[in-house]
Amino acid sequence: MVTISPKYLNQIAQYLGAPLGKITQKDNIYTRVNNNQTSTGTINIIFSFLKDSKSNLGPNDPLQEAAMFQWLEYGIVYAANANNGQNVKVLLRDLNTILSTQTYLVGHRLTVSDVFLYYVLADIMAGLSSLDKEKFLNVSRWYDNIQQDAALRQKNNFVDFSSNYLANLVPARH
Amino acid sequence: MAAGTLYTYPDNFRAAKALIAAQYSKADVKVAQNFVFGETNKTKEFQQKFPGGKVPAFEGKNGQLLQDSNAIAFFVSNDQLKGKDDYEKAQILQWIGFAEGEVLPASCAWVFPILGIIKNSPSSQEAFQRAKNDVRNALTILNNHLLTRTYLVGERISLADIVVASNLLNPYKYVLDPEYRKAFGNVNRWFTTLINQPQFKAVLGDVVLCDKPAQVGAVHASGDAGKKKKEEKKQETKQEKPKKEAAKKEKEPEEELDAAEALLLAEPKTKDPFDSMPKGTFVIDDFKRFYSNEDESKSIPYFWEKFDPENYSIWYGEYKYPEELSKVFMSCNLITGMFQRLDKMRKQAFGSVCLFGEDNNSSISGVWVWRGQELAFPLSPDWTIDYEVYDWKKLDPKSEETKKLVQQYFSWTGEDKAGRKFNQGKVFK
Repeated sequence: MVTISPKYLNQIAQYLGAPLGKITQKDNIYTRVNNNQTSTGTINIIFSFLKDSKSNLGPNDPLQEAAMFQWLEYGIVYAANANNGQNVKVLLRDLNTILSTQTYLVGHRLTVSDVFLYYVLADIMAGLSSLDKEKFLNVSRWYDNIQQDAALRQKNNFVDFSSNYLANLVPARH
Repeated sequence: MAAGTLYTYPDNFRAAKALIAAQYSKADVKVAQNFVFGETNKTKEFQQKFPGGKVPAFEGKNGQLLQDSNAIAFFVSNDQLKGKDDYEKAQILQWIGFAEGEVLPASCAWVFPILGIIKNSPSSQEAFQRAKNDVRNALTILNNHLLTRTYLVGERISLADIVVASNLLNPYKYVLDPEYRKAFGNVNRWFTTLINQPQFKAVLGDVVLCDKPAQVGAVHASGDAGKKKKEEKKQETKQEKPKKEAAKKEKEPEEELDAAEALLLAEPKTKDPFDSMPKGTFVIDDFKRFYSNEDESKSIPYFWEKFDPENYSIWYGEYKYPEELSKVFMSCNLITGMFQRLDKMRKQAFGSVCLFGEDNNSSISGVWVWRGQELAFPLSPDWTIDYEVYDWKKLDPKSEETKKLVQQYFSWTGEDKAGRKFNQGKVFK
C-alpha cells in the first residue's frame, strides 16, 4: 500500500482555504472528519477539501473529474514514491512529454491536480541540477509557472530556472 | 475603471484585443450596436472624434477618445495585464511591437489572398510567398521564447499574450495546417491554452484551428458541379466580415465581392478530354463503388457483367525498368505519384497497380480500364508524364488470358512473370 506524507494534505487544505478537519491514519489509509462528514483515502480527502472551500480549482464536468482523479493517483503512486534516481528520471520524462503540448495537466487552467503535483514534486525539483532542469524543460516551465503564486508556494523554496533561458542560445550537452 | 463604447464591425480580431482585456479587467466595454461599417465611420460626426475614421475606435464614458486597437486594449486593461513593473511593461510593449511589425503584415499577406480580401495578382503572389517565410520566422522566435515560458511576459497572461494571439488568430484559423504548425509546438500549446481561457472564449467563441491548408483561389476553383459552388457561396458569406475589415485598407467590400465573382466567371471551364468519346453503358463510378464495398468474388463478376467492350478498353501496363526499383516504399511512391498526376483521369478510368517482390528485387505492373479504345494518356498533356516508362498492351476482353489478369490484379494476388510474390497494390479510382 502506498502512502504520502500528511504535510501535502496540510498544504492543499491551506491553499484551497478549506478546513483541514481531523485527519487520522490507520493501516496507511488517511481519514478526514469535518462537520461530521467522513472521507477516506487521500484522493477522496482532496476532493472533500474542494467541496469545503470556495476554490475553483475543482472539475467543471465528469471528464475533468476523472482526469483529476487520475492525476492525483499518479501523484500518489508515482511522484510521492519516486524514491530513487531511476524512478525520478522516468517520472520526469513522462511528465515532460505530457507537458510539451499542454500548459496544465487538466483542461486549460490551473487545477488541484497541478497544485498537488507541485507540492509532491517540490523536493525533487529543488534537487535538480541545471542540466536536468534543461533536460526536463517542459516540467521546469510548468513548475516555474505554478510556483509564482506565493500563497500556493507557502514555505516551499522558490526554485530557480533562469539557467533554462539560455537553452536556446547554448543548449546543454547531455 | 475604464468604461465606454467600442466602435467596430463584428468579429474583428483587432477589436477582440480590447474586448478580451475588458473581460479580464471587468471593464464595462460595450460594442456600439448600431455601428455600420463604411457608413457610421464615414460620417462627419464620427470623423470629428476619430480622424481617419478607422475602427476599432473607443469612446470612454468620461469622453476619452482612442483609436488603435492596442491603445484601446491597454486603456481597458487592469494592472495584471499591463505588467507589474516598468520592466514588464516594457516587455509587453516590445511584444506588441512584435505583433504589429513581425506577425501582422506577414499573416495578412498570407491570409488575405486566401480569404479573397486582396486580389490574387502577381504582386500579391510575391508578397504571399514571402509572407509564408516571414510567418515562419516570427513563429520561430515565439516558439523559442515559449520553450522556457508559459506566457510571454512574467508567467501570467498579460496584454502581450492577448495582442500576439489576436494577430495570430487568422493564420491559425485559415493557413497554419497541422503539418506546418507541428514545428511550433510551444506556440501551439500557448495559443491553445489562451483561446480556451474563459475570457478569450467569451469574445472569440470556439476557435477551430486550421485543418487543411487553404489555397489561394481555392475559394474560386472551378467546381465540377453546383455543389461545390454552393459551398463557395457559403464560405463567401461567412467571410464577408473579414472582407469588410480589409476593405478598410483596400477598398469597398461590394467591389471586392464583384472581383471575386468575376474571377469565378473568368475561370475557364475545364474540358474533360474523354468528352469526345461515347459514354457507353459501363458506369465506371458504379463499378468503383461496388469494387470498394464488396469482396472481389462479387466485384469481378460484376465487372464482366457490366463491362462495355464497344466503348471501353482494358490495358496491361508494365514498368519498363524494374531493375532500377530499390526500396518498396519508394516504388509505392512512384505509383501513387503517377496516380496523383493522372487525377483528372479518375472519372473515366480505373486501375489496379501491383508491386511484386521485395526491396531491390521487384516489379510494377497493373491492369487499367478506361473509356475509348486508344491509349488514354496522350489525350491530355497532364497525363503524359509517367506513361512512357510503362509498356502498354491492350487486352482482348474476350480472351481467357485477360480474364485471368483481371482476376489477379483486381484481387491483388499471384506473382509476376519472374515469379516474384505479390507485395502491395494500389487502386486508381
